[in-house]
Amino acid sequence: MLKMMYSNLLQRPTRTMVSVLAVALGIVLILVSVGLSYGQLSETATRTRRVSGDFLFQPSDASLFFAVNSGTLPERLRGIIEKVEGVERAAPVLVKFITPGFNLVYGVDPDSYNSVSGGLKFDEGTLPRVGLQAAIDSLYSGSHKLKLGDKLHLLDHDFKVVGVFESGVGARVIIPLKTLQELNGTPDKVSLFFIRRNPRWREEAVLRNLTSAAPGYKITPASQLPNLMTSGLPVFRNFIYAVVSLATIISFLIILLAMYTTITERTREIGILKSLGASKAYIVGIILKESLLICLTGVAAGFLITLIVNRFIRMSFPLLPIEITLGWRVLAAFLGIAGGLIGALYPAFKAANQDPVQALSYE
Amino acid sequence: MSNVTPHLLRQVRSMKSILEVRELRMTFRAAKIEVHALNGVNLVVKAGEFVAIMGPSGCGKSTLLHILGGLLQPTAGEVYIDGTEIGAVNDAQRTEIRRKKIGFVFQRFNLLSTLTAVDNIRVAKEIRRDTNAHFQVDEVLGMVGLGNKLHHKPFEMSGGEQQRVAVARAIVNRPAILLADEPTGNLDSSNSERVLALLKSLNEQYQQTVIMITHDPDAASYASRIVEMKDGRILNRVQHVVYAVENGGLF
Repeated sequence: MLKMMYSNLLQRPTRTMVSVLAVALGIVLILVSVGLSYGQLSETATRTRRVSGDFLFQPSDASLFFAVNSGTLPERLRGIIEKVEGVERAAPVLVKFITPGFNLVYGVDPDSYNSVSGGLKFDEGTLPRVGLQAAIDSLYSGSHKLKLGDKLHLLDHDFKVVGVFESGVGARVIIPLKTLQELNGTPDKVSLFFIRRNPRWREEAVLRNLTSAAPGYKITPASQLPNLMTSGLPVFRNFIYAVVSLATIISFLIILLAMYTTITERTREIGILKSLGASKAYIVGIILKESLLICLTGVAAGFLITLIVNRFIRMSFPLLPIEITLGWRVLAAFLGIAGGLIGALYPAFKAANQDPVQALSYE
Repeated sequence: MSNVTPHLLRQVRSMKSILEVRELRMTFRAAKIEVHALNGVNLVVKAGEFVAIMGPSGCGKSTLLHILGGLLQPTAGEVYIDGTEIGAVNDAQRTEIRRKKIGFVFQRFNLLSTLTAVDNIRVAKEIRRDTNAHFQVDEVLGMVGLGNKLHHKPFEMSGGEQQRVAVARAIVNRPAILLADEPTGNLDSSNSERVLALLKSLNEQYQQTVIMITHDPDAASYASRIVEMKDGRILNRVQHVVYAVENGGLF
């Protein structure tokens, strides 16, 4: 049966290749889309966690990732937060998400930010203090070929680079809080507070105190950020569902079409097999196994293309994080194969139920 | 009938019936038109017989053969293959009977075009793997004189060679009945003779029951019995019993 499958697939190489590529496209679509989304979220979560001290203080309706653009918290809340028992310092931050390059810009008060984050490690320079000054992380510096004293065009203004810090902590670009508030049109407003607790206090106790002192706000322990970022976001989930559904439907439709055409062309062959005594199960098995072979090759090709795309993204867009987990690889492979096999079911049963006499007289 | 002796007839009657057809009728309906392809066919074929069914085009020969092979369901009547009434079983059981008991040879060869001679036969062996008696693939191709064409694909072989592969494929698992539908219809006279001689030799050497449809009297002369059909009926039962008897081989 294997030889028959191979020879049938090789007999129509273009169609087989198109089917394989369609399955591969589905795999690439899932892995790259999910990889980019997951990578962006995961990296943001990690960088946020590394700067945030112990808690993230936000408006109650704020998303951990997508709603960071708005500055809705009054900056004066800092005084209230810092008076809560167990809180050592609160750093107000206005966050701006800039679409070219999908980077975060933080507007910070340098003293409190340094204190909460434990002090950024600078390759050169310092945090910006006033006006159109900016500090950038080393990855941003490398990818944009910027060094100390250079001009950085951001938010329609030219900023002077006054510091280059180690990447992986907070935003890639940091500017003074007052400057960003002004440019954003939200004076005295911030997006969130990073809070550091007094090390003598336990996390749960401080969280309890914060919650009772500032009811109605979202207070997230920093340790929970990565999980909340990646699994708790409905928008992220919906996007992933959409991509996964699309990829599965592509596999399903392409295999359905390919196998339907195949069985029409091979009507006579099916009649011959029936005359030899092939059962319906045998004929269904042939069609499904051929589809499985196409799907498996498509999955392998999809993995290979994803690997190439992954390398290309890492080399060409170093600021664009991409993270493809083993779990998603397994799921993408499963969906590619399942979609293809389900697509092959109708043609397979149609073939199995063909009238042998009519099939044998098919021209 | 001149060469049929009472002794020979006694011997034929004492043979086991491998196929019995009783009052077989087949009506095709297309739109509002009914075509009566078979109008009460009765036929008994003994194990080891070589029967040729002759008749003009449209007399129901192929329909009869398709019903005998379980490819078609008759409108009425009974067909017993090795004692089992194939109209009384379900589709899966009929397929099993076809797999275990029947071998087909068609006018258009019907080999799988993407496979070599050997692989065409392997597919048949694989499908009929649950049958007991069978030849080896190389052996059966040797029997039909194609030991040197094992790895040739159908388009690399002549019509006669393709038909011999088809015969090899049909008999590889030693079916109880070999059904041949105009097996020489697409062959020149030389290849026809070779294929017919092959069928005759299988019948003589291995007591292979053969039922062959043909409209060629020369081809029919290879059979041990000729059955004539017209308008969906069998005109007579025994026209002649063959030279094999005269040569003392078959019975």
